Amino acid sequence: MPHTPSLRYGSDLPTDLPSNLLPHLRPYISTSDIPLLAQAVAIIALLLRLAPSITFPLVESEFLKDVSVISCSPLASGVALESLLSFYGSLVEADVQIASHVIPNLVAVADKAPKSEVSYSNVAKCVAEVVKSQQGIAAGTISEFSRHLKARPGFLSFFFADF
Amino acid sequence: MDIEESPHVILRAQVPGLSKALLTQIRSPKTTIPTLKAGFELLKGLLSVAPGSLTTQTPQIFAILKNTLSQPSSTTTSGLHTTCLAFLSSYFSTHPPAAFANSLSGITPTLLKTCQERHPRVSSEAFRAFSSLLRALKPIKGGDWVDSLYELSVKKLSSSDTDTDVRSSAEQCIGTLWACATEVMQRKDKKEWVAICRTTGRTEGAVEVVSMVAREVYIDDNWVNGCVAWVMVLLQKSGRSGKADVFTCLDLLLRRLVHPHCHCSDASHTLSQVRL
Repeated sequence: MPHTPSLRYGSDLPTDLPSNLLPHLRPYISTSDIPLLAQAVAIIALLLRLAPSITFPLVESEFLKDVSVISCSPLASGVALESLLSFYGSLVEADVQIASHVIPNLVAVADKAPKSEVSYSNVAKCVAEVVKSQQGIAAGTISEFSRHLKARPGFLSFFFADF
Repeated sequence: MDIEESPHVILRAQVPGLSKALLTQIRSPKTTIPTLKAGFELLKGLLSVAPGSLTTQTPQIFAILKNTLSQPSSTTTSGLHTTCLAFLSSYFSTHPPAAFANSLSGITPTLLKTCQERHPRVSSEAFRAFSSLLRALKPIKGGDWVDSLYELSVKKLSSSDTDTDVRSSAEQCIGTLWACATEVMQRKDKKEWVAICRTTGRTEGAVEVVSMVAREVYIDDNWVNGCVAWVMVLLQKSGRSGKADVFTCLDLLLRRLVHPHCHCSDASHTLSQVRL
């Protein structure tokens, strides 16, 4: 049977559910088991969609940093990357303000990590996902990254390819 | 090849003669156990290539099944009984309810007794036959055997010395009851879930059943919240085994909370659905 509906127009989750559930997902936010990481991140993304205002602050304070690091890792690919992208999409839709912080954070993580441990393609896809969900910041983001074009041509081409 | 001469059409044309000969052979009470067993294996094989082809023979077959299953299960008959029950499962899954409507009341009491057999394989195969019957009859509004089946399943699940295989087929039966006889089950006290949602021992079967029910029907918010709490405990358990299914179950439960009355799609699409 085809999947229906935009989940955001349904009834509400119990208000204490995100705060009860999220700590149990914490151990799975690591690259030690990529398939379970993918599922845990997908659940967080789902919570952000179902109960944005309750889930967002918890995710921002407890998960965002680690998820950013994992997103830049070449280990995050396939289904895991799909989940991470849906995470960023849901995150930015849950709180508009975060969009302009997520992008520099991702780039900072990528810049700090040793080159061999960064997947620029992942970073670009995540940045693109943020921009896709908050198109208001598209112009600024594009002009910001076009300055890096000389330094990292691959980065921007991935970005545009995805966008 | 001309469609009229395809092996399948030729086989179907042979079914009346073949089944008549076979049923004559196994109908006699003097038929030996190996012959009876081989007969039902053949009938099951027939259904796998020509599903639904035994409608006309149903009364006769059910009478033989009833006789056979009425004999107490022992080491010599348990193999025969499991074969008969496996045949019955595939019979129910390949025939429309109209095919067995008149014969059903004759066999359900025997099947209920068979669920209580001591031999684990016989008992679990009987539960599986009931699950198959429930699927065939969905939606079910009521019936004595439905209530008895429910009570029996709960009894098996509540008892600590129930065999693992029996337990898992009784769990499946409860899940199928909810999916196919929802109205009947809504009138019960839902005590079965206390017995199903354990946090010790093997929990894979329970996760599968909760996922199935969450995917197919809405019980109530209490049920979903209770199951989410149970899943949280399972997430804390060490070891990777079964974790992927636990996450799938959690995903289905969360969706069910928000969309009580939608029919959730297959969980294999879980990750893509998140992106909506």
